[in-house]
Amino acid sequence: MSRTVGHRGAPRDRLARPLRILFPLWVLGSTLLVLFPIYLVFMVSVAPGIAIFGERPALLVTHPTLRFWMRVIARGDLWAPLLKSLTVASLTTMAAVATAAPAAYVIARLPARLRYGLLIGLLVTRMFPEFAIGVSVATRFARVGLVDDYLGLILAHLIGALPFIAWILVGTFEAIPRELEEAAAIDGTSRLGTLLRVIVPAATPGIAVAALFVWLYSWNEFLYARLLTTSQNTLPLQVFQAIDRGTKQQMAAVAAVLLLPILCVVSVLQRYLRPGTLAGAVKG
Amino acid sequence: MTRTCWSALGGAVGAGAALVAAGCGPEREAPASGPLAGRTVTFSLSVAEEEKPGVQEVLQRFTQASGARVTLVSVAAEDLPQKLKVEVRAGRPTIDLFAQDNLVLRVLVDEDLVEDVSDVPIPDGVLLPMIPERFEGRQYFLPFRPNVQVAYVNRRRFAQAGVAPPKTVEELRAVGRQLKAASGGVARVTLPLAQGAPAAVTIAEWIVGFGGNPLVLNDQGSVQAFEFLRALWAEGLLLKESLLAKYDTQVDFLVGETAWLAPNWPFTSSVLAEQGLLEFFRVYAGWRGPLRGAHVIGGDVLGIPKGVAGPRREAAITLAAFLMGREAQQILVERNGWPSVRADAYATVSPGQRETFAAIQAALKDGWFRPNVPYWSDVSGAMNEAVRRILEHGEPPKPVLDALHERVAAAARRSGSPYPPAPK
Repeated sequence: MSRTVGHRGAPRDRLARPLRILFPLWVLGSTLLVLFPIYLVFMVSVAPGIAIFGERPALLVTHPTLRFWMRVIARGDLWAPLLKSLTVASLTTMAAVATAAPAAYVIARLPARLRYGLLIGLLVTRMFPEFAIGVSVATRFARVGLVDDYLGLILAHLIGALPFIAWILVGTFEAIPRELEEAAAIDGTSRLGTLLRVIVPAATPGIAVAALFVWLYSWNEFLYARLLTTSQNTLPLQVFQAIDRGTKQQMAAVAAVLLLPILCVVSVLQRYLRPGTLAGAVKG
Repeated sequence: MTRTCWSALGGAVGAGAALVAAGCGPEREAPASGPLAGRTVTFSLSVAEEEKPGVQEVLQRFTQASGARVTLVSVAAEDLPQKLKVEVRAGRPTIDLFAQDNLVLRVLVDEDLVEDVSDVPIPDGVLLPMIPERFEGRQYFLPFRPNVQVAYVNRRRFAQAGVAPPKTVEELRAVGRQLKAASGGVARVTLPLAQGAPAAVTIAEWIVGFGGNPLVLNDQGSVQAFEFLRALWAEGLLLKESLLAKYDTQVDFLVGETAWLAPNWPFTSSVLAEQGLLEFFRVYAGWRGPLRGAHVIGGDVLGIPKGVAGPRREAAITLAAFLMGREAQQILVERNGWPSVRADAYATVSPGQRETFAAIQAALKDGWFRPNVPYWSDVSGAMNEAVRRILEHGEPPKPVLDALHERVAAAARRSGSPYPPAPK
């Protein structure tokens, strides 16, 4: 018996051993692949003059300098765009979640045919390339004085963000068993109480993903920021101009400024991105 | 961890807000006196961060002289047409005066986005060749900031090879051979032939230097220019890196000593000076073709968006006149190293930059404005394709240029432009 088991297990073992070695290497390689560009950005931002010129620039900086960071900070013209981008991205996210979450919940509880019809309808609005409609939309916004205005930018970002966030949230609410609501009702919880104390907590990972998506979309958005901004750029626009016309180290320092809030927001939201939140929710 | 991150984010936002508050505090108030006291002009100019202080100094002088405050905004050249389209169509232009790349003006005229400024006098002292071309007999743009490529020479390597900087294309061939021999068979000359504008600028200069017309592309001068370039390429006198060479990579090639001779825009001198390397390079106007010297004039011109009228237009015109004046041009030369539209603006150039400005002035004498035809992007695309096919793949120039000529002619017909263009 033990011989048979051993015989059956042998190919698996033969495969398992190299996998045990290869898997960590693969994970390490993938991680390095993702982190390398980020490392380059920070490395170049502290590289002294000559270190990064030439066709084979150094990958390690032996004498780092904060000169270019100090210049970027001293110049002070990134802080206002940074604040504008943070404000616009955060308000857009709040508005998108507040608008899309209730709608998505209702859609998720509709009969299947109607639900998918509505979802397709939402996505149809994303079929038109933004560049094709951007000028027309921005012209209408400009007519009502929404140039150089936070509200204009937030509304413009919502055009792109709402269909996707609704799509994500419908999927999230669909996955929450109706039995949870029924159990809460049996326990005497009101409809609103069920929504706030049962459904929303269960949907938190999906809402976090959707919020992260909207935040990143708004943070990086370029077209409407370009068309609806004159006096105060958003950070991506400012970074683009610095990259377009600055030295390499300054470009890198400015790009790093763009990266830092993203890293922070992703770190904050990652705790909500755990899979399996609903596991065992309706177990008897 | 999360709390720390929230704190960090909060701290960052707080610090940002504090810095914004500090940075955006009340600026020095504009003097109450002056013909434009109390007015504000929004001026769009796309410049490098290092160049902003020089521009700000000019604008402060304008404020002192006129009483008008100037808000400097930065809309990139490629973004300006769309931005103006939005604002002009909405009837609410937020920009009063803009500086725009002189190659992308046609779209502004065709889309009716820019005011006619034929009535605005050009100040005395502005060089006539610097005045932008008219469109259908109307002056829509005013001169502001020309730009032209010059040539950078590695002094030490040239001295070691015992050669002098070439002044003609024939000398370029001879120097290329000597540099190649001195470096053990490796070419040491790069031409900016990177896909897009760099290749278009370089090829246009070569064609005009050989007496051809880039809009025609298969005339005798164009064919001869490509035959000459093809011979240089086939002989291995040009670095293959030329196909990647543009304004920034040319600096890398020069600093890394991959190239010992390379044409590039004059900002190179500022970059080299910042690295303490300018003294190792000689800067001069470059080489001439068999028929003439030809340097594409790049840079920015001034314009007023359609719909800017009344006192706003008056203030914009006053600012434009100031920017074309000697005082402003002198500051921009001195502080930013910009070539000037005036000959009398170079008096206060620093000794380290004198050679660069002498080269710029010499190059500007052979300046050539790219024609603002609506089919220029097709011409540019054709020149780029010619580089790939003739230089990179070694195809014979004449048949390639004949085919590309037909393509350009078709594009011209589609745009309703007269073709072949009248000789200038």
